[in-house]
Amino acid sequence: MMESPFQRSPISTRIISQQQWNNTVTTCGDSRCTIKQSCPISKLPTEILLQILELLHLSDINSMTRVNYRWNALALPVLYETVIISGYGTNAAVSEAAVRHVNGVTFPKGDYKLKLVQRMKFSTSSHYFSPRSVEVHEFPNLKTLTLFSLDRNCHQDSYYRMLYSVVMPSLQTIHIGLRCEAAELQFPKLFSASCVLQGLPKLEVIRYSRLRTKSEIARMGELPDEEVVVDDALGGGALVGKYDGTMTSSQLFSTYIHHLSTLPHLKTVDLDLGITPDSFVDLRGSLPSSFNILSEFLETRATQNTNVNREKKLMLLSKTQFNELITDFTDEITRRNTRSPDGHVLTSHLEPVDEYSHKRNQVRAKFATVQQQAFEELAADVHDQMLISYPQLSVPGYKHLFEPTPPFGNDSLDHVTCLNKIEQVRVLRVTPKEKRHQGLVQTLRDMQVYCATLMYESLAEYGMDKIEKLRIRMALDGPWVEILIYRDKENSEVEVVTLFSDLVLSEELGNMLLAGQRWGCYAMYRNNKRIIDSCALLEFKGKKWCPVTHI
Amino acid sequence: MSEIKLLSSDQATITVQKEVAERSILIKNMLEDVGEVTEAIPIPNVNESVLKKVIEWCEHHKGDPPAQADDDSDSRKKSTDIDEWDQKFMQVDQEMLFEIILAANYLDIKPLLDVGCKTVANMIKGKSPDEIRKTFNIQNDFTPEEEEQIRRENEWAEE
Repeated sequence: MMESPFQRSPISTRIISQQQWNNTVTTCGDSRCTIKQSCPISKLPTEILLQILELLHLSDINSMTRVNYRWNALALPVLYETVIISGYGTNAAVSEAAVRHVNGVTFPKGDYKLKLVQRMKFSTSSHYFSPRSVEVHEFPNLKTLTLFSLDRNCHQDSYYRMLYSVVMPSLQTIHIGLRCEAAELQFPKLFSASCVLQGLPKLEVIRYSRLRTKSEIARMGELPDEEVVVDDALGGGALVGKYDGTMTSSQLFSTYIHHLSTLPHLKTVDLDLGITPDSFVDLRGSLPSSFNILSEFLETRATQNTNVNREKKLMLLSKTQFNELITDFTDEITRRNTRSPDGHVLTSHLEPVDEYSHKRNQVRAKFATVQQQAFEELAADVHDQMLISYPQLSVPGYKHLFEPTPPFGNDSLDHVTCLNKIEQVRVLRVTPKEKRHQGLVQTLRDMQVYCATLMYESLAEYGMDKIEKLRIRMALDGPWVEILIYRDKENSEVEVVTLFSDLVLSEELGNMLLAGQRWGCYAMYRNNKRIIDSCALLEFKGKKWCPVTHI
Repeated sequence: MSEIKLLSSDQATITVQKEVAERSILIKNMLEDVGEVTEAIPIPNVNESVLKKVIEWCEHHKGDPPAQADDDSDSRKKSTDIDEWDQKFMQVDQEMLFEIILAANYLDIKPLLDVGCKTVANMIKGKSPDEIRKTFNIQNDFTPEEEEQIRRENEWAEE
């Protein structure tokens, strides 16, 4: 292959030092421009030329890099401070070509320009992206990364694999935006790859967004957030990822934050994912003790778990069903282990419990008929599934930091009812305030308070003690709930504030607000004990929201 | 209204209202340090014609409210809009334009420096590298291969 002289000495290696650049500046003015016509712009000092460049658009800065050597030296750092790859349309093949072009041509291995990049935004189709022959690059100074995939059916695994081909030791902010169906199912996977997390030791902000078109947002009755709204031309139609009753409703909050808890500096978590009061079911129950009973029981058994089918069956249970099973199962273990001094089991089967359904009591009684070996196998399956569903149980010595929070609402307000209520928010959004159903408004507010409390407590249980702000939705596409956390390390005090949106306030409460005030929930913890917990009138004072004090 | 005298690099003395001269932070600070001065203040980097031009700008803008202390956010989005009077004011040959910018920089008159930079930015906007070189009479020291290589590397930034 022919090598041009240029290839032996690429531009970027020639543009190294400020010193060198200054020399060029002086020589240009003298040797070239004075011969015939003057080149007055060459008289301007570096800082003014930079000020001019800062005023230009990307494409003009790009042109400046080709004017001559000194302008190249000047414009290149400005151009590469923020790299935006999005002008290639959303055609998958074109997108991949663009990614490869940037990977190979723009950033050849070890290129000087890699050091210039501080912010990068990829906004492309990712359908066919494969990491084959992609060079692994280190961006030593990259602070902000935005990855948007505009595909409706993107291969997220391959999309996330892009993250494996970059090393970003300084990254502080990552924003991922997806437009495909059921994107949130994949979200925890992104950060479950430990190599990704280990590569982001300085991450402070993580944001996950569902990209929506303008008309989708309008249909939801929300104000558009310019940053994550895409053009209608990119695909209208049905609401992307709309809750269809089978998807993500009962995702546990813990599965969302489990992997994030390994990021030591994380301050802000902003997830366009849905939770419901049901998402915290693990925190109110007696899971740790059930888990211990199971673990101890399994230590005594001899056989190994081989039954894969049953394990899969357990995955199909709803969270509520699974939690019932755990309770019933540990009751049975306790029954089997409770023996008289001469070694006989005291009871022949589990006695019916009044508040359980007839059917459940029947199943509980039948446990007694299961042979010991089969029972052990089942126990192993339950044990494994618990670890999958409640990852925090794998933390050695795990126990609750907080008093169990009483279950949300009345017992009739089960998961499906909660979801239905949240679904009605869309109706609520377009209903005039005075016509809103007060019962629903009240229920939604209670849900928000309950979730906010448990969100903070979950974070604390995972040892995430740097988080200052967490935002998530009440159910998919539901209203946002946000907690702000203020910590006073000296006094071991933590204040947790939730601001109520207009949606969950009655007209009467709304009318009581003065300028600058908001209704919200204010909680204070001292040494992990909740000492104040109330809905209150809040005002912004000294960089934080605090309860209004009457004089 | 008190007046002060300025001495240009080519030894011309120009009398100007103190209020007008104080658009220059350099002069303002100097007057604060020195107090009353009767002698002409030497401005060694600026010649008479440029200094007159700068004073003309300062006179027109003497009543302007002080600029916002810091608006460093999102410099990329900064507009290059220039008000009509300033546009006319800046319709000078390039030699003078860059002299004004240098003088504004030296005298620390930020709003004038901004107008100057915006004027230059507007001269660059939408032009090809070749057109830019022609506009400013800049010698091209790239080989065609080098220029093409840079174009390919930076292709992502094209419109």
